Amino acid sequence: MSARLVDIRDLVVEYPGGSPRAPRVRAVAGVSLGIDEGVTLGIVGESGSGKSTLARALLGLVDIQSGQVEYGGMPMAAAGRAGWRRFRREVQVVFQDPAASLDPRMSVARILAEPLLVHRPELGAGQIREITLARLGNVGLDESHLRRLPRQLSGGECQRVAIARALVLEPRLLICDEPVSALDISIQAQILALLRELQQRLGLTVMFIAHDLSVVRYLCKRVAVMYRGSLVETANADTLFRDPQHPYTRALLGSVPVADPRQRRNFAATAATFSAAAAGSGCIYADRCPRAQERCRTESPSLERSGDGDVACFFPGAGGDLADGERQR
Amino acid sequence: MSELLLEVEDLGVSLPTSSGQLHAVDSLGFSLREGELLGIVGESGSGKTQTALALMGLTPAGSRVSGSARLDGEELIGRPEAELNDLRGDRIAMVFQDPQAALNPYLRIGVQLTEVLEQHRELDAVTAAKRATEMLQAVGLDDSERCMRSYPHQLSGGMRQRVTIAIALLCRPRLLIADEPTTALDVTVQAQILGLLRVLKGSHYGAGLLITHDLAVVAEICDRVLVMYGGKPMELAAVDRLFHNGHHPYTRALLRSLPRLDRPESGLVPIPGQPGRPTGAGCPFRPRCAERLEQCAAVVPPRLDIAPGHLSYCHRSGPN
Repeated sequence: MSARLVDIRDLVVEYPGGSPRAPRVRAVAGVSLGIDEGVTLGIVGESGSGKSTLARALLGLVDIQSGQVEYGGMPMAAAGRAGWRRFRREVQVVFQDPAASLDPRMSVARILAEPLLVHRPELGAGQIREITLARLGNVGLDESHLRRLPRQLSGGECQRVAIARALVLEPRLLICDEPVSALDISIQAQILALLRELQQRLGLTVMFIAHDLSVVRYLCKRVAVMYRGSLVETANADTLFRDPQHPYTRALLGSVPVADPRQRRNFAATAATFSAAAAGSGCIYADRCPRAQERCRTESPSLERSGDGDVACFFPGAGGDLADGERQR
Repeated sequence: MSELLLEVEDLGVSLPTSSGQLHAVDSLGFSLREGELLGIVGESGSGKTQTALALMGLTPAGSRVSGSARLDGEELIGRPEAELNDLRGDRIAMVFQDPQAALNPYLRIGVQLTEVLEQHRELDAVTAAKRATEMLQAVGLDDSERCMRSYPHQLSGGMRQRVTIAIALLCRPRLLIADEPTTALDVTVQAQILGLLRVLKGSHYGAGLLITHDLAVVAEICDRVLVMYGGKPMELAAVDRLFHNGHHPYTRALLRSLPRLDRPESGLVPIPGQPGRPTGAGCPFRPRCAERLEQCAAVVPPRLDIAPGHLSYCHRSGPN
């Protein structure tokens, strides 16, 4: 068992509501999650499930209401300047929109040098250039790109630069928030193959946030499924994709289109309803769950050990139901 | 064989740019039969959206559209604006990617539906409202009365897309064009919308064009697929043939570059380079093609009849 790099416990993050009198929105509602060194953890969920907020809270980019984040055994709430400095050096991020995450007025050389100037002031210009070129090489770019500005690069090239920038400090943890969703299919494949290669070669620990389950299946060893701010299931990727336990995970997997007309799922044209007011004490998924019983509407299930993962459900497993659009065999 | 509904021949769209005319769509031809759903697949700049806009007469100002597109035998290209206005929303309707942008935020959903019927069917307010309510139910908005009274912001993204589909289908169009209709939606909602498009075909619209970058979506609901690249057709075939016996190097490369939920062990093979269009007459895919030949740069690839209904535009004629 490898060492725990990140330990998130009972994390709650709230945002202000739409108006001063509106109730606060609980984006992350008590999540506990660990990331082991060297593992690529995929976080999946629909929009509003809190997956990006979870990453932002881990990065210290949003205020935490309660709970705690521990990085490398260090509780971040108590970390001083030196602790955060170390954290900022060791934890790097790649965002969804590559163009928006690069300063439009900086050359690629400058973009890649900046983290080194901040965190490794002892380096001379020659060493910086050496590291920069090596990282550019890692992402499939070369010296000819150094003088360019972001607008002179394609979307895929921008994302490569963003990844190279994240790598110059030799991070221990790389957080990727939807890094390929804005890219064309053929470019998406290039970036995915690159991430997989880097992760294997550099032994990176990666937190990979994505809504596309096929992408997560390709890259991740472990997967956490979020729904309305809570974790509903975590497991090793092989287990989760083969035998999902939570009804929401099952519905999610059953909704993914497959690029093979011989495996058509014949999605049902189910009806849509106005979402009910926030559920009271029951399970967060009860109003959509095909398996919901009386108990699910009054009691909230907590995460319980199940195989190599955890699941928050009173009636987990395959069961007799056919979740929305589940594959017809 | 069912009746021919749409016939597109030698369609071209050229757009003015700072560096001259850009041939966004070039020499495109395909047909659509009653009851068919044709997927048009391509990456950015492939011309898939401009193709749809050309059929709707909605290409940007200054653009030039050439060739022919006949809906039930009637020519669409070059029609005067007034006639197009009568057609649009009536016999051809379109659903866009972003339902938020497609709906007027200041008007109740009910008004946005009934105005279509008042415009095209000259129905009175009461009859129009009744028709609109029925349509909302048909697209799975069970609480249709409440929906009619709501403003767009009071609905979820999936419900809004259902509303735009309802608006498009109000006049029972012959041709429904859906441009990335599920790209902005969550995967469970996408499945519902795809199910809906499939179920309503025939009863609520004659035939459909589904424009998307997502091959998996095409595999789920389309009957045939047209693959485009750099404004040109690459391959056209029934879905089963295209996914299992694809001929064109671009089609096969695209399929190999997809991460697959059903085949996690098979690695993916990216296509080198990036989407673009080289100058010159030849095949636009040639700079990225692993199987290019000498003539690919200079000569327009011939149209190959691989099998009945299966076309490929490539210099490599042998079975691949």
